[in-house]
Amino acid sequence: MKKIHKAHFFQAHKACALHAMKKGAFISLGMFMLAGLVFSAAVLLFHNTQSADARFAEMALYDRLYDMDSSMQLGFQKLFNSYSGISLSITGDKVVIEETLPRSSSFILELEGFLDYSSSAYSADPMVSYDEAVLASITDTLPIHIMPQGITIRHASFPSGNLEIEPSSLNIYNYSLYLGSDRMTSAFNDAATTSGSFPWMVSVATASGTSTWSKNVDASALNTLSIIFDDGLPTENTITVSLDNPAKLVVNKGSMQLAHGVSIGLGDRAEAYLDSGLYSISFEKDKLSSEKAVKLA
Amino acid sequence: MSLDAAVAVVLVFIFIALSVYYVGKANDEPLSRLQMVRAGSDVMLLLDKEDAFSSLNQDEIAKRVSAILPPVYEMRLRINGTFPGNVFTVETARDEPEGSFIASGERLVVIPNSTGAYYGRARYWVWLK
Repeated sequence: MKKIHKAHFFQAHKACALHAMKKGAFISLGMFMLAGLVFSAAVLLFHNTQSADARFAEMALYDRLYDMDSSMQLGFQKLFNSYSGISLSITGDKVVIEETLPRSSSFILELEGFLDYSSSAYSADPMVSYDEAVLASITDTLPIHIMPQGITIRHASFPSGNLEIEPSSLNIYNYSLYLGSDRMTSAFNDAATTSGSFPWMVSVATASGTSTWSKNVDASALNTLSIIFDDGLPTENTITVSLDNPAKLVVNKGSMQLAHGVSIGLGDRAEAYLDSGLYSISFEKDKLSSEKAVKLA
Repeated sequence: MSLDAAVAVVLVFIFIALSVYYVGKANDEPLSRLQMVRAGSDVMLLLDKEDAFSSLNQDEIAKRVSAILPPVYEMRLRINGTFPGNVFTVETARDEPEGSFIASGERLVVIPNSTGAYYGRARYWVWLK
């Protein structure tokens, strides 16, 4: 009886140990798998970070290029606003340019100074360079491009020559021209103007007050408006303002010093730029470069 | 404890230790560094647009930097240029942290002046407090 009981006990103990072993193995395996899963997730996360490192390097480079470019753009704007003697504003669909011609201006000198400084400060990687042909064009006539309309505002010889506004097509809605002089009186002669549907207004301020002339003309034909300034002296000063196809406006001021203000109605939003290709920034090693037109307004 | 359980426990601990190491590495998330670079860039752009550099006064610029810099960051900026003295430095904290990431960048600055513009190269460093 005792022997049978002992055999049963050993059998039960053996079964119990086997069961515990199985359970232990399952728990070990489970833990092992769980740890493996955590490890795999960690490795995956790590690899993801490795590729993010490469993206970071790329994005940091783009940011650096953007920083340099935006700082140069802001620099050009500050130089233009401080030294050109031109007030250029774009509000809604209207461009207004105001200046007195002729005058002295240190804008070109400052522009050249800034380009020289930038290109010597960044002569390797990154490298700032500028196009002397574009600079020469800016130096000569200071062309301002109104985009996307494709209108060019230039001076026959900056800052002394005549002011010219030349659209690439007949896409201007109206002109309002303001001229100011310290002469005594002025008179308009519009005998050489046409009739049409293009609104053209000219107001002239002199020592005796402001007089205004306005007419709807044909902007695709030649119109010449003469303005006679009189000081009571034997010699009068006559200036001519011409409007020719396609609404090209030229203020021929002769030898007079005149304050000019031109408001150009566009019918759409616009932005003003200097000639494109003036400067470029390049990161040779990373084969990355930027060449943008200087935005003025 | 049986030998197989001991081996399993050791392996699990090795796996967990490696996981902690990799997760720790992954936590140095580079894109969050970009945020720091951009914060510095934004501060510099704002200072430049506001013509804050035109005073060439370190205290004034430092005050302005402190006012616009997000409070979690410290910043140092140095401008080398054509103005009298040729260099000036502005900093919100004396010491840079050792071993942690410091974002940096630079931009060109134009400081209009009645006698002609000054040109400069502004470098900046940003780090977490």
